[in-house]
Amino acid sequence: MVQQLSLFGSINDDDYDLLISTLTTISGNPPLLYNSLCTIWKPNPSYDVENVNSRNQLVEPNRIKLSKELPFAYLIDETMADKPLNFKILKSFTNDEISLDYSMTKNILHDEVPQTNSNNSTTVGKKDGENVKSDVKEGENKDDEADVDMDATSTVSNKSCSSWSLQISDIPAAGNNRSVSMQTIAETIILSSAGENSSITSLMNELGYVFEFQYLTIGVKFFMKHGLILELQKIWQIEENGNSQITNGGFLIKAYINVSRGTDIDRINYTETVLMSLKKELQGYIDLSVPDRQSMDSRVAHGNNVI
Amino acid sequence: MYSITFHHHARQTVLIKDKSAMVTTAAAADIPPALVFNGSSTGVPESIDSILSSKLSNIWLQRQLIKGDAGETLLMDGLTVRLVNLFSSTGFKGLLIELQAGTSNEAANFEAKIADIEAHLSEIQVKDYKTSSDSLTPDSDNYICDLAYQYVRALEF
Repeated sequence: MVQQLSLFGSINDDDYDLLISTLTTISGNPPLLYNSLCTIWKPNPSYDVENVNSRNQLVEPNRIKLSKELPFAYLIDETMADKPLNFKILKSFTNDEISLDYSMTKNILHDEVPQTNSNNSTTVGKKDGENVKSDVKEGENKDDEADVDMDATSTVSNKSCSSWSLQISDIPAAGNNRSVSMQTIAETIILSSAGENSSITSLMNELGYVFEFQYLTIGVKFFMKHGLILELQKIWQIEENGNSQITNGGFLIKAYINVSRGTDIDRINYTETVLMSLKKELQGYIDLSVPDRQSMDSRVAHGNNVI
Repeated sequence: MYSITFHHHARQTVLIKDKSAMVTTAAAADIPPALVFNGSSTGVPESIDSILSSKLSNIWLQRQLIKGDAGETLLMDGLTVRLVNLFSSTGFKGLLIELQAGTSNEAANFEAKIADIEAHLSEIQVKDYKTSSDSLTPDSDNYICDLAYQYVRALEF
């Protein structure tokens, strides 16, 4: 179980360019563009499951987060297609509009992904700038075909699912005088599937979970010293009746470090110092702070309006 | 639902329920790099079993654990043979034999070799055994899922 130590902040759209150049200088690394589709699943409400296990221990039902990366071709429209795929493209996303829609995510979750979606483009590391560009060139053509495919009547598919990260997070640690947010995350990796009804949705249903909501993050990240990662994110909720950008007019900033063992107190203390010195360095410019732990509570009984 | 962890296949765990299977891994080296890069994965996964027995233990209860320790792998006559004694908490469960054809040439004779072995078994009056060469995915090829399914089929007493 990983301990994630984090701090959050926000900036306006107008401050983006300046912040990017500041962070590039501080980190000594260029910003890297990334995206992720997060889908949240809750225990199937039609099953009457007790909150106690066989050893009579209380187990509070938790949401499960499944996340993966998407090909950028799904996210950019024609007007952006000729722009280079780097941090500047984020400035084009100023409103609720995003090419990814509910029917596309539905196809992804049922693994009825258009055949043209080559697995290569989703799995190659996007750290390399050239890689990203070549990705998009391939992607442009795929996008058109993808639309065609989407209209075709969907048949029951036995297609294997692609890889997902499956996480269950605890509520962040309590305490009034915490300088950083600290959250325990249990994670496993789903690599593939086989057999009848092997879409990720069917598999989750078999586990006793049903889909609840989903969001898309497009952002840039800086890899800094001491394993510190700083992300500037734009987040959209992808819903059946349209998309809405939660970060309208600005960016969410997340600075975090993962500590692989929760028992490694030395490492946790050290990590806390690293985050605090980043906070100090950016003080007066961005206000990095500890979010309300309730808002990061994924238990089903609590915070039913997470977003 | 069955969960099978293969120590001889990069410690991957296959979950099987009815006729669908899911391959999971707890090995950091096997995480697709894209998942680590975009922050989907923290890079420190654990096994699906430990998640089932902790976070999901109100939904899932482990009924039985069968374990094969200190198995042997033999190469003979174009076959990879894996032998292991299986034990549960109540004692000996049986001898598990996994037979795998090596090259595609050898695969052609695979059925014949199995028939040979079965002939030998009946010669020495062994009748109490079960074989499975089932496939979860007749149309596609997912080796580890098929193998897990065969384990389940052969072990369903």
